[in-house]
Amino acid sequence: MIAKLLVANRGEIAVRIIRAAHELGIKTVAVYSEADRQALSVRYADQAVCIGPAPAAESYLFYQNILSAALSSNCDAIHPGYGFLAENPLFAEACRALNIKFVGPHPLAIRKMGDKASAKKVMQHAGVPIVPGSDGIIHTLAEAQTIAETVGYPVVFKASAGGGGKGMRIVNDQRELDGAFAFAANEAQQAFGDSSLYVEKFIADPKHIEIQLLGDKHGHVVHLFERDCSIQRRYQKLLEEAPSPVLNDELRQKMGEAAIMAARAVKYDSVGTVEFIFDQKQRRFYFIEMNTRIQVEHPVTEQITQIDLIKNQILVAAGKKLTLTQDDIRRSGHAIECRINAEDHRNNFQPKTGTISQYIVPGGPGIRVDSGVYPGYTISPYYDSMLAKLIAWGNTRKDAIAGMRRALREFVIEGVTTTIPFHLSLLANEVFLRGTYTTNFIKEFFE
Amino acid sequence: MKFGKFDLDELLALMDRHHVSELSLRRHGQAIEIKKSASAAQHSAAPQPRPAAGEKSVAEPDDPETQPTLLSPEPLEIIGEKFYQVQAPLVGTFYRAPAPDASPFIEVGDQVKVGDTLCIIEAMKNMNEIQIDVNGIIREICVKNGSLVEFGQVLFKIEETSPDS
Repeated sequence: MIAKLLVANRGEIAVRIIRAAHELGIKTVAVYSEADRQALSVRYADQAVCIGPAPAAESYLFYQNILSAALSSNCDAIHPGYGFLAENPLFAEACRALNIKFVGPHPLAIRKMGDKASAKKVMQHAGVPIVPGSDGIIHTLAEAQTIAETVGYPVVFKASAGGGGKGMRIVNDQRELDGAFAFAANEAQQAFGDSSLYVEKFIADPKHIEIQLLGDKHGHVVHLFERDCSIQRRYQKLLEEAPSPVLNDELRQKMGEAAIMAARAVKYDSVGTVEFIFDQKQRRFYFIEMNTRIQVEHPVTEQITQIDLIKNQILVAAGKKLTLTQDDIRRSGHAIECRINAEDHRNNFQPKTGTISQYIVPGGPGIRVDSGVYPGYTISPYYDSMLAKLIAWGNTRKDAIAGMRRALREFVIEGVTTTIPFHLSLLANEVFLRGTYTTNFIKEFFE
Repeated sequence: MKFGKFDLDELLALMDRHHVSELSLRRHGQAIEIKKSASAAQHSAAPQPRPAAGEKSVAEPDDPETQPTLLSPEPLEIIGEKFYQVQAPLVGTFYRAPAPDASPFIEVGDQVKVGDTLCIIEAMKNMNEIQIDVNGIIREICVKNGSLVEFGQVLFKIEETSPDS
């Protein structure tokens, strides 16, 4: 078992991990940058070590100091949280070399899943559905046409070097193919200095649906159903819910089984998430990527399954066998999480800094708040702008929404602009209430 | 431990012999102040670097036996000395000597010059020598041998002296 755990993170997730560890009877060491001296995690941990100045590259990402703090304080395990070093295979390998348990999957799983292209190959080989398209770069128009006819229109050209929509072009039928190919190649060349393109089926109304996994070092893997994370802005999730309002039990089971296949393909041995893009029209799902860490939105799953993911993550890292079987995992009711960020949603979600003058958290039935802030806490410009995660549980989706609205109105955060008003308007939106919202929702309704 | 040509023990013996309870000496930028309490401790323990309110410190309470020092900070503040503070540039385990059975690199009262090694911080099995970048006299060793030091923690307080003194 683990005796002393170093928490290599900050903010609410550091607090969350310390809470789980203390409940398991594990001693904790918090690490902090000079900007986080007043952090709640520093107060809650049994011991705290300053690991560097405010910039993350010199503190939370600087793993020599983190590993050194773990060794010098006699920790036998490190929990990386999310972000920072959580999906860095070199860090996981360094922990292993120093005989410190890394609370996460084995390094090779991180490595295999870390590279999108190689992850897709692994998944294809394992029989997990991936978005149909070209196998790598296409060189000629004729090649693109053959693929488009095989997978069916619409298709999309994407820049191989790309991201952020540059070098991307949607093609609705064969007549548009020629122009789109030239346009996308030219744009890719200008943006990335590389004109190579690939082509795949275009999914018009996509949902982002992910499956939570839990595996151990003895070959057992279970899934804990899905989360619908389609409410996002520039790939940053703002609200998550479980179950997804658009899945039926048959699809849910298929997606769960596909996620387990994905996990088995890399001998997955921790908590993790397989993300799928879900085509609402065709009712089909395709693998996007696997996150080899605990995720921000994990409480949504915890609320509907009553399974503590962080405690289980620590226990399996210690080598414990999972006692849960797939049949033991039941879900009940509906949960929603709103990320309360220090951002001005009326001003392009611009991050805000400031000192919290008043802070009154909501409570009552079905409400959970995971946070790392308190009255007097100063939000610095160095890290992300999330202040708190507000989670509402209800017997039905309708109940959960009503609970969330009530809690959002109760939540008092003064001294800094927050996304509470944004969430209140989101929860009143008809498309949101119908549940059919896609990943384009924020762009369409709020920008 | 020496002050000028006197050994600390000699000074204490002199004080005892002449029933002196307080002694304050200055010489060539060196300063010493000895106060004997009723319990007659031979030397005062170095107090912890005081953490700011609400701040948690990693350092464990010091053992006076392992950390003798000539001066406690309070009298020094009265004297009005401004000390140069050597802070830990990295996280690790603090060692005063190059090997477990070797004598410490420096002691309180020692004259040090730019480039002298003050201690070792062990980080991930690497021994990092910490060197001084001023000339001066060691006034306080703030960390116990073998303990964990965090980034920015004060390790030594040094009274700066001009290069020709």
